[in-house]
Formats: sequence, C-alpha cells, structure tokens
Amino acid sequence: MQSEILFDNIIKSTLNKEVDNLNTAPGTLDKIKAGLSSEASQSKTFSNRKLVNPLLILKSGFNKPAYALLSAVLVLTLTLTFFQPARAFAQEVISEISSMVYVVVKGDSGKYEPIQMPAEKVTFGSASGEQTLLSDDELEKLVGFEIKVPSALAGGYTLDRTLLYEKDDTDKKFVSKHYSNSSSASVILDISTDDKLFNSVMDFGDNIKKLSLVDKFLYYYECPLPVYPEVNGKTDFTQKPLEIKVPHSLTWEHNGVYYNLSDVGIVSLSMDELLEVAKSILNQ
Amino acid sequence: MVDIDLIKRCQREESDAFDLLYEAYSTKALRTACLLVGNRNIAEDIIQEAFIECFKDIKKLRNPETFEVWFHRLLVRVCWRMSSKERKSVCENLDDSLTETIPCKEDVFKQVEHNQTSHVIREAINKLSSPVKTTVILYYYNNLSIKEIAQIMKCFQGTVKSRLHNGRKLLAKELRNAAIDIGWYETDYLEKECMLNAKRNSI
Repeated sequence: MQSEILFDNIIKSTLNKEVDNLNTAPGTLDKIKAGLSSEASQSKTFSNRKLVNPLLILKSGFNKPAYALLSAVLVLTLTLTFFQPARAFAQEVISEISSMVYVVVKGDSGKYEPIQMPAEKVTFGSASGEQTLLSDDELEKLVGFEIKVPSALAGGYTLDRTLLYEKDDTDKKFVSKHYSNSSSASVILDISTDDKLFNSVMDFGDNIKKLSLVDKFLYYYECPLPVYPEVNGKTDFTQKPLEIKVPHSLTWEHNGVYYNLSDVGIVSLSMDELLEVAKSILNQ
Repeated sequence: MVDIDLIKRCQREESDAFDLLYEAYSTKALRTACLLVGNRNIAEDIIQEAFIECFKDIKKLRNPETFEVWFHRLLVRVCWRMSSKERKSVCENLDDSLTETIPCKEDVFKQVEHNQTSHVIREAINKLSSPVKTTVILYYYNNLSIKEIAQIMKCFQGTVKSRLHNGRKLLAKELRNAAIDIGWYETDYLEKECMLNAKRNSI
C-alpha cells in the first residue's frame, strides 16, 4: 500500500513540478474579452462544422401534407455542448418561436431560396451532441448497435472526432464520426438504427439517385441546410438565413444499422467522390 | 471550493466577476491544458477559447455548485478539439521553457535525478491514449474524484477506475523499463501488478 502511495506521489509531484512555473500570458483576459465580442461568428463557423445530416434530426411525426403544401423543411440544429439540460433548453427555444420564420424552398430557378411562413406550420426537430472519447466498443454498449467504421477513409480522410447525439424528441442515440483530409474537405458519417433517416430521404431529399455498390443499395441526395443568425446564443429562425449550405449525402442500410455519409456542404464532393469514400467503409 | 456568489455574479454578467473568475481559475486551467496537449502555445489558445465559452455559457449553468465539474468538462473538450486540429503537436514534449532551472550546485544531483524521472513520466504520459491521459491528469494533477472525472468525461465511474488502473500500469511499466539507475521504481506496487496480471492470465 505504501509503495502505491509513493508511486501516486511521484506522479503527482512530477505533474505539479512540470507546470509549476507556467502562468497565463499578460493580456490574455483582454484577448478573451475581445474574443467574446466577435465570438458569434467564430462559434458559427465551428457549429457549422458540427452540423449533422438535417434528415437525422427531423422531429418524428412530420406532417407530410403540410410538407407537400409548403415544400419546406425547417430544422433546428442545436449543438448544446457543455449544457446539461439540453432537451429542456431545446423545448424552450422551440416554444419561444411564435412568429413568422424563414424556411428554405427550391425556387423556380432551381435554387434554394428562403421564404417566410408561420411558425406553427413548421415542424422543428433538435438533437444535442457532444464529443466523446469512448472507443467504438464502449459506444456500441451505450447505443446498442454495431459501430465498426475505419478511422481512415478513401480520399485521405482521417477521423477527427466522434460525437454522440441524442435526438431531443426521443431517447434514441446516434453516433457521428467527423473526418477531414489535408485539403480541408470534411465528411461526416452518421450511424443510427433510426429508420427515419433512411425513409426521410424519399420525403425530403432532392436529386435522389439510387445506386448500387458492394451488393448494397445506396441513395444519393442533397438537402438544403440553412445557417441562421444567432441572437443571445440562440438560433433565430425569424431572421433570414445567413447562407444556405447544400450538403450532398449517401445513405444506406447494413445489418439494421443506417449510415449517412455527408460532405456537410462546406467543400462539395461529387457523387463519385462520395462513392469512393463509402466504398472504403463498406469494404472494411 | 467553488465561490457560488462569484458564479452567480458571472451569470448576471457583472464584468468584475468575470475578471475574478479568470484570476481564480486561469492558471490552473492553463497548466491542465498544457499537460493535456503538451504544448504551451496551444494551451494558451485553449485557455482563451475555454474562457470565451465559459463566459458565454455560464448563464446556462443551472447549479453553480457544479461549476468546477462543468468548467473542467468544457476545458477538456476544448483541449480535445484543439488537439484534433493540431494533432501533430499532441505528442510533442513540453517546451524547454517549462523545464525547471537548477537553483544551486548542491541540488544538481537531485535535480538531474528529478528531471530524469520527470522526463520518463512525461514521455510515458504522452504515450497514453487520450482518454487514459485525460483521466490520469484530472486525477493526479487536478485532484478530482472518480465521480467528478466520470461526470467530466461523461462515462461510468467504472470506466474511470479502469482507465486509471491502465494508466498506472502503463506508467509503471515505462518507469520500470527506464529505471536504469533509479532503484525505487522496483517497488512492491510493480510486483503486485505483475502478480495480479499473472493471476488474471491464469484464470
């Protein structure tokens, strides 16, 4: 027992002495204060990188006739990192939206355009996610389905981080793997057992193509992803989107698990490029 | 001990409260970040990012008593995020400016011995996987409990215990491998570890 304490003390002492002389640089607080004022835009950039496939976070029970009539989908994407009562917060945000909101529709020109519509005619969905360092084996135990994906994908993509998401309207969890390559291109692989992901492609996706790869059927599609301004840290749907990203995605099912591979809309990938990446996942 | 009043003042966005909170937590946070990412420059960026997020989100903290766990969680996540961006830097050693200066000639021998130990431990910690390394640092440097670390890392307490055990075992192994002139590494602890392992293997 004494040697254990001695061993523990050696580690403690070494760590303490290692950084004992380290102090914050003068002016750091001023930089932080300056950063706070410009934080909104920085935060937005990061949040955008964390966005997952909007189809995944659509609230269940979406009113299809309303969708057909209005041809619009509004997705509330909340990445509520560090915030414990994420679900309560999401509900609070949703209940606060009581006026006209902006949604995105495909205009006559074939381009996505924002239009206004009453909030009550729009279904909001939300998901909260956090980065996790759990191994795939540990994650599998937590989420209850198989997660076997490589840490490196075709196209030079390597795994940056793994996020564990909970849909706020259910207790369902899904896993999101974020990859990037040296060309600053990013892809996100969402893994879920929620078949809404697969089925909703038909309802909400645009330019859908059914493809075959490694004995699997895959669906290629695009889906607009509006980026709204933030007010007091909350997404403001009553304002016109700052931009409309158009992620391209491939989705497929394997052993009851649904996969969605998306280019996030930051650096667009062609269908062939996405297929190459998907192939490296299917061929593992 | 968390100054609850200070946290509440920060939640009311009182500017001087932010200054006091920064003063109270920044140094320890910087040192933790430096141990986690192994690079002072990145650690300073992490501190800026962590406090920006802290000041921005502190209003959302419903229970001020949990500030320390909440803040450590935030800090660790920023560290992981920045480490992902600067992956190459993660395995770098701490830079020379962090090496202690030798105070006087009489202490030279002890200093060399200590630096050797520090070096081995530092190298060994850098070899640990991110979850194990984070656990070891939060436990040994930040003196956080197993329960608090589990809350910070959002995992089970058993997982923390297991990571801590694995971390100790790996550190012990590295120290034993490097213990050329330092006899006290060959402790009962290590022998016990070996016996335990042998027992486990024989089951």
